[in-house]
Amino acid sequence: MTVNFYGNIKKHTNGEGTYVPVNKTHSTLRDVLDELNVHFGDSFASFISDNEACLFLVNGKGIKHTGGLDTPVCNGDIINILPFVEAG
Amino acid sequence: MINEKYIRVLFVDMNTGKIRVELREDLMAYLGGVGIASRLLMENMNPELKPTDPEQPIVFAIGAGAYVFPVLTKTVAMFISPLTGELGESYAGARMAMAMLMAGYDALVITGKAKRHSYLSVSTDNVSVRDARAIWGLNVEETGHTLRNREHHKGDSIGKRAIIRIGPAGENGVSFACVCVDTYRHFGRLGLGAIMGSKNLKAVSIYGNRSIPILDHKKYFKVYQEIYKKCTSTDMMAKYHDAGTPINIMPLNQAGGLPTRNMQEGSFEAASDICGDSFAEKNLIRKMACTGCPVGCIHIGMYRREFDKGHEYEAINVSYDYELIFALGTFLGISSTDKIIALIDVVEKCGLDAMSTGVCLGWATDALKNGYISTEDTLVELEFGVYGGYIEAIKHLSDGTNAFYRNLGKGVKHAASKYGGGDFAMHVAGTEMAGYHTGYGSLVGAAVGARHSHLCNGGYSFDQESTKFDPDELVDKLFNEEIERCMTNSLVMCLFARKIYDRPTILEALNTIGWSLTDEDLTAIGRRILREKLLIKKALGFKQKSVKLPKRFFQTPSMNGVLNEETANMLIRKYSEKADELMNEAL
Ligand code: SF4
Repeated sequence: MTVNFYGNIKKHTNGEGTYVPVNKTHSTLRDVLDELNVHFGDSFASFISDNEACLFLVNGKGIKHTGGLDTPVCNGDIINILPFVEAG
Repeated sequence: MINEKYIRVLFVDMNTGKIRVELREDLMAYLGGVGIASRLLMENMNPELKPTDPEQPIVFAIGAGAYVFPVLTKTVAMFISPLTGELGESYAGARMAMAMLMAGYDALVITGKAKRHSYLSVSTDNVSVRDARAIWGLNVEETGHTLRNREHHKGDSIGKRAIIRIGPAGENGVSFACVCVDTYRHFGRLGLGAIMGSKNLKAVSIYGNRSIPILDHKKYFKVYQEIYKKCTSTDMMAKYHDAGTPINIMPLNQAGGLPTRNMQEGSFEAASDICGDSFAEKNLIRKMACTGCPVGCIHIGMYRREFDKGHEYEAINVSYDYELIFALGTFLGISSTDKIIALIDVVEKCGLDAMSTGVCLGWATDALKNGYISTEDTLVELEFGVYGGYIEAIKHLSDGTNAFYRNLGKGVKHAASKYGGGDFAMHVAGTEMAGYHTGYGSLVGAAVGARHSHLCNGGYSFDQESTKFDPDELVDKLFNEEIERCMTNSLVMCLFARKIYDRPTILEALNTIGWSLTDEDLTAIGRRILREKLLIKKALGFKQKSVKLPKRFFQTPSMNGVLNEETANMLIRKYSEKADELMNEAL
């Protein structure tokens, strides 16, 4: 499983663009994010908890219809965390 | 409206040249901007007549707090849309709100048709209908040059004047003709340009030199500085100044929500060639701001065009944004920043709405390929990725060269009703789609939104949230956000500043310039305005439940997978019930 970071979220990952979760038994996106929160710390955790900060994709797709943060994940999955798209 | 208990409305009858000014205490209940404009539209429109009838009004309004607080920079225009036949509502920045405020008018209502080609000149102490025969037929750029020279106000800075104008598309009645404001901003959507054209009104010049006393300067300045700091010293608006809205290209592309080649696909293989960074590297020459905005998100791009053999070149400058790159780039399969700028330039000069133009041409390309129309109709070859044909087609669209282009100039829905291909005519309730195929939020949000824009309720945001899909929750969010935006659009703020102007900030700001509002008042104002807009739509014959969405929305996977037509219709029904309840409320 690989997590990729794009755009302004990298300010909260010490500039790192990729993270491979250590725990291989995560079953949902939420579990993966819990590990990321511990690894990158408070500023990361508070950034991704803002409902309008990031866009999560699991294997290239949005998570609205796969369970939100409870979307199932498994080994080999690619999770991308992108900047939230805003318009005006 | 600052420290006053009334809204000052200027009425101009283009037919007689007569003007009158009304001081309207009753309009204070609508705060300003879209609130007062909705009320004035309702009072002055005639649902029995067509949108371009001389009697129909154009209403411009500025917000409560316009220009005196940062980023409250926009003016709203309301009218009956020649594209949809129902509510027309469009916003533009640049200098117009400042000029109206300094001229002393909160709203301007224009009715009637001038006897000859004219423009309107409004200043603090004079309003006149002036001869525009010499500029009729000129493109938007040439009109701007001429009027800037003509509309001089001795000894004063041109910075206090705004000039809005139409191009040939507006003169020729193209249903999605836009109105250019001070060169780089626009009343883009829903065809205000055609309504101005139908009134023989080429342009409006507004100049103001009033001085407006702020009664409690100390308090005002403190609030001003707090807002200013939030704009400039936090992350809240930084990205708009940095890469600007084109920053959206890459995430939408990766997510599969970037409509490509008439939305046959949701991502574009050449997205990185036309993303924000590519424009910045190849074309960006400067950034600009609307008057009263410390952020400056307007990105000006340049390219060198060879206009003749023998090393004849000229520099083309246009402002570029995400929506333009989507409509004239990915939607047409164009993969070069220079070519997109060339397309934007033609659209600008003709005075067309870029989004509607791109979506119409995307449909025409598909319709040509699939045999619904032929090159006898299009007069040029149209092929995704090949820009030369599109340059010519845009000019034909603006000029209404033949029956096909005149039909296409009435919008993609109308064109498909004549030639077929309705399944891939990408409109929502008659308005050409915006660049977000993110899920039910964006699709249903536009379908139920008062002006069928992605900005009515920001549905694309809800598609990106990490919570799981819940139909009732989505409908509630769309409805509540639409109400909230009715309130914020009565200020009228640039929507990029939404997070800066939270409710406590709005109350603090307005209450230093003469209002005494509470949080409950803001909620009531939002509801009152949405109700007014829904009643206008009803009077004009719009029924939410009758909206029929083109099939391709349910074929091409969105960012959140393939959407289901039944689910979308169910969401529209649910929203419509809430809208009916609001209309029946006595407010
Ligand atoms: S952020 Fe951009 S559009 Fe908004 S007010 Fe500032 S310059 Fe104008």
